[in-house]
Amino acid sequence: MFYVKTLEHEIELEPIHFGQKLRATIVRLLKEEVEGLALANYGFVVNVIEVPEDQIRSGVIEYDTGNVVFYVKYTALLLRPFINEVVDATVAQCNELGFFAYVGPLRIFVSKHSMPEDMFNGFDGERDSWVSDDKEVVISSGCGVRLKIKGRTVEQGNITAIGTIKDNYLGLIDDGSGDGEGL
Amino acid sequence: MAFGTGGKMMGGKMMRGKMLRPTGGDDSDDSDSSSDDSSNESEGERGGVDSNVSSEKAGSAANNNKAASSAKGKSANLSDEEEDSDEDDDDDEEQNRASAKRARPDSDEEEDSEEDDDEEDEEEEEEEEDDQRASKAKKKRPKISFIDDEAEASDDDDDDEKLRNKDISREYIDKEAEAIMAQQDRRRQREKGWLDNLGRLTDDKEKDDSDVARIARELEERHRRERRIIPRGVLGEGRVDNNNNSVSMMMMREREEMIAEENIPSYTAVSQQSLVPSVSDPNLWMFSCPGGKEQELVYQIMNKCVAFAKRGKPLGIISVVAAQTKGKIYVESYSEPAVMEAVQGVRGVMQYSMTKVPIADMTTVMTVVPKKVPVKKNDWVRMTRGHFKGDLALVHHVRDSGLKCVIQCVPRLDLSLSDLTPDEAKVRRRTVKPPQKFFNAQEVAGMGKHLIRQRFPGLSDIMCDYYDGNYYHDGYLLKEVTIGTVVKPCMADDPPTLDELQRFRRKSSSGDRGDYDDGKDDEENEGSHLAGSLLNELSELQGKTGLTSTGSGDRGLMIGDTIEVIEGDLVGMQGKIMSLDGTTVKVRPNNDAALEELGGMDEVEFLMSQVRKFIAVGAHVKVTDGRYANETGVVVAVETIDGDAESDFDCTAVVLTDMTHKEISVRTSQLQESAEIASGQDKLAGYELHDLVVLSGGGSTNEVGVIVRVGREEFSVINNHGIAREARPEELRGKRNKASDRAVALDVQANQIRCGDSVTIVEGPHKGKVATIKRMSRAQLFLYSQFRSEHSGIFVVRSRSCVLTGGTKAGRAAGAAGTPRESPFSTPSSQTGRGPNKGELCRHLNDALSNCSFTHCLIIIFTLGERDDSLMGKTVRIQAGQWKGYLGSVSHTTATHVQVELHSRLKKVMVVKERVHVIGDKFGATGENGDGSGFGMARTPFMGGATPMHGGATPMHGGATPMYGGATPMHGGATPMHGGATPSREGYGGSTPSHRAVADDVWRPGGSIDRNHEAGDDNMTDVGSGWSVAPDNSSQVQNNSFVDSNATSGGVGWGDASSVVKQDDDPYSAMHMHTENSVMNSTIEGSGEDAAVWFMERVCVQLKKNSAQAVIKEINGSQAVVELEDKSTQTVRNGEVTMVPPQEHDMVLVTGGADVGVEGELVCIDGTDAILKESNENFKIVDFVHLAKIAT
Repeated sequence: MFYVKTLEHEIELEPIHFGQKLRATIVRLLKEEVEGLALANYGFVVNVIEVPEDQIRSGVIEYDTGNVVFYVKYTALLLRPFINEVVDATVAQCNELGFFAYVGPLRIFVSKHSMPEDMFNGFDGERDSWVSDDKEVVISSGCGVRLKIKGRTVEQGNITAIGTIKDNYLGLIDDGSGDGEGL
Repeated sequence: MAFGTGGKMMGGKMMRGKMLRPTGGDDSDDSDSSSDDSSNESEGERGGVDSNVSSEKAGSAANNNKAASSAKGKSANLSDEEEDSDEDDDDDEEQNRASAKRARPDSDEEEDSEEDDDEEDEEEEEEEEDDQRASKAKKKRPKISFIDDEAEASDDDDDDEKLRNKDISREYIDKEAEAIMAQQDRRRQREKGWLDNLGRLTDDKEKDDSDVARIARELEERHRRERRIIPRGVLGEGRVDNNNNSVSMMMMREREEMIAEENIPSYTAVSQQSLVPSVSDPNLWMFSCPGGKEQELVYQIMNKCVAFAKRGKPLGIISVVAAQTKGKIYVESYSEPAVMEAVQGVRGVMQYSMTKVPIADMTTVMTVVPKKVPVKKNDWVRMTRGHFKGDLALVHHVRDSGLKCVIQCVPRLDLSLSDLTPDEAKVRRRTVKPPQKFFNAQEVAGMGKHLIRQRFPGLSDIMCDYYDGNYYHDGYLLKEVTIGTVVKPCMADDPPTLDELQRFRRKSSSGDRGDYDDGKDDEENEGSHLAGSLLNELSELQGKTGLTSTGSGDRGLMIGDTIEVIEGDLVGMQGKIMSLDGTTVKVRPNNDAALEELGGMDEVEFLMSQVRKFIAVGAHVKVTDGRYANETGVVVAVETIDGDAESDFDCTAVVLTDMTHKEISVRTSQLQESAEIASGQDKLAGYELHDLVVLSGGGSTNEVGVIVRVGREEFSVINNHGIAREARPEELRGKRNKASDRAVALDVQANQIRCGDSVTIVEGPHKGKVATIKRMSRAQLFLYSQFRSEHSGIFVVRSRSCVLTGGTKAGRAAGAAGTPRESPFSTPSSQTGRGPNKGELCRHLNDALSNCSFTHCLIIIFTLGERDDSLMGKTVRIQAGQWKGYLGSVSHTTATHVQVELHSRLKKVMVVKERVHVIGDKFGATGENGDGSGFGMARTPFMGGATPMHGGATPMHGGATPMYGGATPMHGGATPMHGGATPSREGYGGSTPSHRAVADDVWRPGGSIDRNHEAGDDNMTDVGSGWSVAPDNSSQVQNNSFVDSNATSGGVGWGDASSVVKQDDDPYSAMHMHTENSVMNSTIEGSGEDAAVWFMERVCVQLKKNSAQAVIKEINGSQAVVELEDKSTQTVRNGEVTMVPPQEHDMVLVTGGADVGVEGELVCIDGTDAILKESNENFKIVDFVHLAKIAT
């Protein structure tokens, strides 16, 4: 789920950056440091929306380095996977254990155990795709699938999830031939 | 004399009844009052005669009762007595006496008439019992008779005394005793077997007196002997101390038990205990004999007994036993001579070895050591012999009272055996272990083997295929084997693994599908039935081993675990374990609703059996126990075992392992949630997973490989040819990790690649994949991709089939100021222009640069002391100095110099970088390799303008990967532009339109890259890719984005532009399209129809025909719709317009060079250079020729 939240971050600057463009530098560095990061509790920082200038507090000089630490509040667009959340994802890779799908930066693995029964044995190694028994459904890389997040693993700076397509209204929603679905 | 003896014995018997029954009658028949009685007993012991008398009375009362009701049968008897016992003692006595009186006349008569028989019966009974003992029957039956005898003896002894002492009670007692005797006699008669009859037949009327006398004498002798013992045990209770007391008590109970057992055949542990032999029991003599002959000898002695009994001369032994000990038989008897006589003449028994077994050891002799766990039907067993050794088997049928069984297992059939000569077959049978494979009758028959349908011997209901001496049913092998030697029961410490069970089960389930033609429908059904039972068995077993494997049966529960309640009112509730003790757990419910429902209770206590560990899908777990112990991974599925409910405390979780990317099935009780990622356990003999090792034993020397799996005692190693094989630790000749880390290889573009670098494979079966170099050995890269599951993600590719995609160390060094990690969706603006100092740098170096010759050293210089490896390995020509004109390859570079290894001399020379000229890659190749800085080639005179050559490939990578982030190399790329006025430069700058812009103001050269990239391989989208189009990136090219197809396929116009840019199919050149296109600029120059670089939307142009100013609004192929100043639109061809030269303070777009795509305000023009200010206040120095004025 995407949501906007105000977060705080600590930026350390060398004295060389001090000057007129200090705030711009801070904003730039903040973006560099924060965007793309997965915060354990909040999810991926997709974008730093706004850094209110007045929220950049005056810095504190570290006496041993001469660097200055700024605490910055910013609003960020976050992507956090919730358990049982249903998301649309793009399949990136299929292997014999399941497939990997992406929702933006979030990687979701769907095991074959989490696929409908008629796909359990449906891995087609030649095409690198999962095919249902009736050949109706073909999930290969580039497809859009709707899946439900069943589990979440938070690692240092990254979040991955385990999903399932074994439920009503889940599964293939775009075979990848048409234009991209709205993810 | 004989009669006299008999009379005496009768008296004894009467007394026996009297003495035995007091306790026996009460205790055995009446469990309620037994404790009272025993206390009575002990009182009696202390109290002396009086209490004795009273107890006797009570006993006789019970006896009378028994005698009276004996006619009704035993069960009735029992119930009667139970009822009676509930009543008052006095009442009891009266009633019983009355009944005894009633019963007496009959019993008296019987007593008299059967007196003689009685004696003989007893003798014969003993012999009969010999048989029973020989077959290891329980000792209770023999003892009954023995106790009778014993009691006889003792009572006999006490007879007179008692009679004298207890005149009053005597009459009653006698009568009662007679009644009992009568009852017993009747019973005996009933129980007499053939032996009895036999004895009677031979028992002639003219049996001589001496014989009878002898028997009588013997008996008397025996009685006398036992008299010495018995008083202490039975009568002397009052005198013995506490210790003996307990012994005697035990003896009493023993008898009670035995009597009880007559009526109630079941026995308990207590009764077992009471069977312990004592001094009053017969002695045991041990004889040695040849091993294996024991049974035979026992039979011989038994036959001898029978024969002697027939002749009327019974041997005086009670039993002969061949017990557990090998080479020993035991003879039980009261008299030593009888034993001697019994073994006399029996061949094989070593008479001299006769040894008396001490009483204390007698139990040991008879103790059956349960070293063989009894095997039941449907038990799992393991084979211990032959090819099947270690295999799992199912007990199909138990035979020979548990000595043998018919097992069912997966055959290991070697069909080729029958084709071999006997000798060869013998060798093969010894050496080759055939794989487990289900028997397929059709297959075997198809091979022309002889096959018979036959019933399994002894199991008539099973039709089997008989082949080569074995029976196959339903694909399984059925075989009769000996328990203990050929099969051993599966112990708790070695339970069948899930794997084995599944392997075992598979056939059954597939049998249902009918791929095994059984021929008969009901057999099909049986197959499915078997499958069902096996499934149940499996689940049951899983439950069992789940319990046993965790030792204390705690089901792997630990404090802090999440559990699920599976039983009781709160079923389904989840919670955390707060505390644990033995059998119960205290659980704190997880959700607040449950907490509220519980009325404010914080913790709920459950039995351990009511909860099971809950492992959520997606959890990262560690396996704590079992076969996969210490593996870690992510749970991808949790399955409840179907089948019976007993085992549902344990689910099976499917875990995708971290290291090996395998799916393993583990019981949840063996899992522990953990963030740990296993690596340590993947060690064996000092080798770890992913180690580069030298292999031996293979065909080629110096074969190396990477460990892709660490097994229990072997590795799977993928060698440098990409072939995986098993290798034992002994086969490995050490690690080469260090060498691998130091090694440098060249990719297809002669980029240096090292371990840890990320590469894209450009040819071969893995084409298009992106992977990380895990190890390298010479030119072979062992790449790791987390998407691959086989060989734990490792695969082998030649280094020259790869192209570096970024993430190099050099790149990291260059971008040191940048993000510490690959940030796939940092906005471009945040990736470019690393601070103002770079801008300063640009300016500062400008002059110097303009003086430089056109070599890549410019780039190097630009990196300001950073060692640039882009020249490494390149073939260069030295342009000045002592070695002018020499060709060589660069073997080392510093910031200012390169070390050139001359081709023609065995010499390395240091040359200033400026004085070398790159003419090719390591191999001298100068072909089109999609060089990143192709414009450099254009300047190489002898290569021709059109031939791109290898050069500073690095910037190109900067273009292609996020990592590069457009730091230093980017500037480097830009630098030569400043070089000023070479013809090629101008041509290059000259305006061949190739870019087109789309409606939005973002110009995305990356689009082309991505398109091609996408076209080349759809699978290749990078992990961190996508997503990178940030709204505010208008100022900068997305050259740092490796944009996901979805992100870019929408609206970027590069690919569908007028396609002046050749769409090269070769992916790697396509990868570098945006740089390459600058090369092409020069090649396409002059061909009038080709669009200029600046020919794109928003660019201000001047119409050639009327010099009117216009802005390009839309581009269709080589035509464009332009909007004139008067807002009218017009369609023009690309040749009909010229670019409006930008002036200061104009908004400009950079159409070429490294900063291509940058938009900004033109601040000033300085010769051929222009300084522009980006929207983010950064200043950039750009070649003026690259600028195109755009509409604001």
